[in-house]
Amino acid sequence: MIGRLLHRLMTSFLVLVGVLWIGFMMLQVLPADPAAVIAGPTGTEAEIEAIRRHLGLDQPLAFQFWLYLQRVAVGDLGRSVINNASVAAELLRAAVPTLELMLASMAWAVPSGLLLGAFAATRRGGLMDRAVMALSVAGVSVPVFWVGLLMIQFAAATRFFPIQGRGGPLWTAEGLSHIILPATALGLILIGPTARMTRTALADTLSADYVRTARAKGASELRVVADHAMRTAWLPIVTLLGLQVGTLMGGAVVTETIFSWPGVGRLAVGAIVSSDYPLAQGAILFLATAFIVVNIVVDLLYGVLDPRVRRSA
Amino acid sequence: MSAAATGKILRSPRQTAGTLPQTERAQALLQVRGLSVRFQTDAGAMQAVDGVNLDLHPGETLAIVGESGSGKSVLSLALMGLLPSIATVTAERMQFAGRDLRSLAPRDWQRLRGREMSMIFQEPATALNPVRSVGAQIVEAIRLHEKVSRKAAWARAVDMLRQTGIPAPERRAAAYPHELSGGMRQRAMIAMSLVLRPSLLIADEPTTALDVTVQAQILDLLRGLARESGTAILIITHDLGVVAEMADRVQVLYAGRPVESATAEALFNGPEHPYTVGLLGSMPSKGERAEALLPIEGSIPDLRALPPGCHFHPRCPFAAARCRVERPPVAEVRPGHHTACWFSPLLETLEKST
Amino acid sequence: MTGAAPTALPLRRARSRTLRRLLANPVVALAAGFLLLITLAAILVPLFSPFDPYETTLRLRLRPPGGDWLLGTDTQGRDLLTRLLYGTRTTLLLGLSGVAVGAALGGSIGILAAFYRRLDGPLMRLIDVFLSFPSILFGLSLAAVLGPGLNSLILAIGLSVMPGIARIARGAAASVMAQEYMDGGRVIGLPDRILMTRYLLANCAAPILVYVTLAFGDAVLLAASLGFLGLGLQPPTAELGSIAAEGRSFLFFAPHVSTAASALIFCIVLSFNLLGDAFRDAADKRFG
Repeated sequence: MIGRLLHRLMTSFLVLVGVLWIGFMMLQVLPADPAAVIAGPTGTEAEIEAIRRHLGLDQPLAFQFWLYLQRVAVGDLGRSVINNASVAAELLRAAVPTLELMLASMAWAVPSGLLLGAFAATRRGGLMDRAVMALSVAGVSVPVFWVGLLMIQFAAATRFFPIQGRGGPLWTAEGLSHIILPATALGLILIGPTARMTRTALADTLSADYVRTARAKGASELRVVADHAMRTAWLPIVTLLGLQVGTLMGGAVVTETIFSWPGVGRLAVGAIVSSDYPLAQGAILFLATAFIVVNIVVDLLYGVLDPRVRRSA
Repeated sequence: MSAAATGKILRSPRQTAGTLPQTERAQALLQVRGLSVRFQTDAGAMQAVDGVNLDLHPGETLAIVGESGSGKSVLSLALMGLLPSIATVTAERMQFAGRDLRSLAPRDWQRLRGREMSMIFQEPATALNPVRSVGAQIVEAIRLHEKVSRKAAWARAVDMLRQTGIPAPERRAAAYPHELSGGMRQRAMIAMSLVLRPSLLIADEPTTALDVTVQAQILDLLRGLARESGTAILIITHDLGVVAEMADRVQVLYAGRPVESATAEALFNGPEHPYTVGLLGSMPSKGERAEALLPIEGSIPDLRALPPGCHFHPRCPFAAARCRVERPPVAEVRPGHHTACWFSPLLETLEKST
Repeated sequence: MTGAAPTALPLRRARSRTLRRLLANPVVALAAGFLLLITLAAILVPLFSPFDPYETTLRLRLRPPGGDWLLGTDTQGRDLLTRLLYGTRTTLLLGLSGVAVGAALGGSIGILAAFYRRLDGPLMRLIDVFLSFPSILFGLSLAAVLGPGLNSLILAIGLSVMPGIARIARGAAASVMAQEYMDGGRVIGLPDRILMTRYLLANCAAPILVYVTLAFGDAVLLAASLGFLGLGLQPPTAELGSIAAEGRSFLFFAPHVSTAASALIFCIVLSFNLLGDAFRDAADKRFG
């Protein structure tokens, strides 16, 4: 368990360094010389040179990367080229809405997917099974933006829900009504894969010997599925759900853009389109780090769920 | 009400059931007539079990013997009502402890399984749930049928584990299956299946997956515990050594069909079916263990394409023209000794022909 | 798959039988037919469309479907159907080049990992990381570093399909490595370069190709999503994702632009995915 976790942490650390390198490179393509910008239009050649030295810009790239790492470590991600706002502050402001959106979509999509998958697994080959499988292929094939656009059309026609922006924290009625459309759109792309994974994992365990043992003990069918089969099926499902966080994140980027949801994804897209490199760097760094952290958490969870891993410390 | 009463009697310590004549014994615990199982698969229908009759009395041990593919595991799952929905089970009679198994509702099956009939499987490594401690699995078996506290159930589980001879049962109860040895797992499995003192235990190849050194211990344990709780055993095996050690009566299956049934003693002393003769011929003399049990030429036929006549004729050293076209009926050669062969009684027929 | 074909002829026969059985499935036949039709239309559109895909006529903007324009006109007054077919062309080409890049990268990594056991661990760990990484983040990062456009788009698609292909390639190559002719090649003193290309690659090309078709749907979807976000090819190039984005501002009074483009993307991706699933099932059955 510990060895496995250390191994994972090492890998994650390497990825993080890679991501940081990409972030650093993004700042290298800055069109203007930052020293010249700071010195202002009246700055002399000598002044610019002094600032350049001060910023470490005359040093080799590797050393500059080291300086960059030190800055990132203390939360200094630079300032936006467009409005000079602190990138870290912008990100912190956008993080909450993104988290809200992801959690809200998972809150309804994961249980639905689990249920659909369980239905399909227990009625394999039946009509329900085929319907779930069709839904899941459609779910991975549909562009998120189309789902979003259809919802906006629907909402505009019925005037049921607000279609743009965030209405405040989730616990307010305004906040809740604003999140319904984006969370529905984002959740829809998650249902298919979740149902499919659940079906596969559960179908495997349902034919396992110990499930037969549970029946031989006199357990009811519901107990057999919900307790025995599901408890082992959880392991692959949790792992795969961890991987789905990637899909979810990609979907969030698109969903946020469509619904003008003030999250990190929209921030990233806007920054790239408007060539705001520091902000783009910060947003991508943020998303990638979040992804890595979630995967570590999923690994930990796996250990907690599976005694075979937990006990082999 | 009669079921409950019977249940009590069944759980009383075993009397000398094996030696009593049929007529003097109590009513049969399990009585099956003409049991057939049919599978509907993509590749066509398959008659896995055909016309099996069984009589099992309280406290008695009946062995079902056959090669792999002879339908003996299917038979056991049919008795537990655990076959998948692609299987169709039919029988003229299927009586267990006063109940008709053919018309049992799912809810009643659940009440029956685990409490009155339980089962242990060939592979304890996969038959135990890998993500729960063995103690928890025994507790579940108890609490599915009896309203007792988790704590009381745990104490009973530990006690039961102790009875199976597992050292330090308090500690072992909290262990997960992967932390136990194969023999230990099978002991836990036995503890789980006998903790409620069922009247019938079906043991499907209980020692096949175990080390040779452990096999005898497990059989001893099984026999001892069953005697204590008055549990009848239906043991399914391909190993005649196991039969000799355990069984009062034996039922030999070939390709899902009964070919011979007798008391263990009668079968070992005077087998009537050529298939049984072959099986016995392959059994090494006392002390050694059978490694491979196939001295008979060829292998069991495909159940979807059975040979006409007697299904055993392609492999039978005595096969005659009649065997190739006409299927021999099950007949009583001697009291309590049934066989399905045109040449029975075998010895006399053979003597006559020479 | 080894040993299943003593000679080439039965294998070919088995292949055509598998293909025929696949096409007997109505869903598969429909998906294959649709892809064939849309590809042909996208290739041949200059021959049969009377409209210019780039010339803008502002007074004809956003005409509804029907009449002279089968699917109406777009935000710049261009025939939408023509734009869509040109867009399909771009999107399919993007997918194709992206998958090609991914196959080249992934194939090389997989074969290197199988050939040099030392590299196996590190390379596969790298692949594991890439495997779960959100593909849209590749798109965002590359668009940020290289600027939005063709190169970053193709590279992003390539990187997102690369890990899957690398795994398949490694698996296939590892089983080829166990074959005797590999030792044979080494015994006669062939250099690693030859062994890897003429021996390894040549013998595991088939499973890699099967997987590549599986990756196509994802590739097209990623291309369209990045196009929709404005991180793909820049206007006036016709590309399905950006056409859907263009129509977004006029969603309420001219929904046909976005809807037609999105629906077309959906149908293409769905067809690829259905075909891919069927291929995989067939391959699973055949290879065990």
